[in-house]
Amino acid sequence: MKHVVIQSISSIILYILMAFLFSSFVSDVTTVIETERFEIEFNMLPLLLLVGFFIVWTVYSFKTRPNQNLSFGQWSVRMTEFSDVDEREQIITAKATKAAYVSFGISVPLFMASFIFYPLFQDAFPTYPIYALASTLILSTLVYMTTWIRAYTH
Amino acid sequence: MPLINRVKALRARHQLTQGDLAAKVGVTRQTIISLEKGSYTPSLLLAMQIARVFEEPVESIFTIEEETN
Repeated sequence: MKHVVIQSISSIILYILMAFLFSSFVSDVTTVIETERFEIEFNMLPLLLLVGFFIVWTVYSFKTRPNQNLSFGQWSVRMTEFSDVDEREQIITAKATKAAYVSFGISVPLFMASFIFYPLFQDAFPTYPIYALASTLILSTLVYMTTWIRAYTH
Repeated sequence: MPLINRVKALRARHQLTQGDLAAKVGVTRQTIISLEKGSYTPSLLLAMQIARVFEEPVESIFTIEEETN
């Protein structure tokens, strides 16, 4: 269970850092287009944070992978939140994945509907679409994690 | 129809810990705990592996609750 909690929280942090990076990138590019300059200046902080976290997370996750027989190549193409050490965990993972899938069916239409009002706050929050997309991923990861914990401790 | 089992009693009789039994049948200790509490219904394969460890027929270890009434 500890593995699923750590990996889910790590994924959420990654999604937040990615959203921060892309929103920062979009803000910088928009500024360049508006001023018609050709030099591009980037805020390196989001990139450094993401790369730094990604390296630490990759090393930790690979060292603590539940199935130690997996090579780095095999491990790297799998979702690290999934834990299916035995048949019970496979059932729990399937249940949690189903709940996360259902959460997409609810959160995506809601965020789509929120775009109706986007023109009203576009100037104040121009990178809202990036955070809205990240939020759907974060919500589904939270649903996956809570469903997994509830099923595991039942 | 809940499935009830005698795994805890048989494990005690064979002087096995939950970890020992888990290792013998290839599952986690948490699965054995859930199984003994009755909150997890094992697959047929796992039930047969447990029966093999205790050298008893599956139906003598796992029974549907209404059958016992």
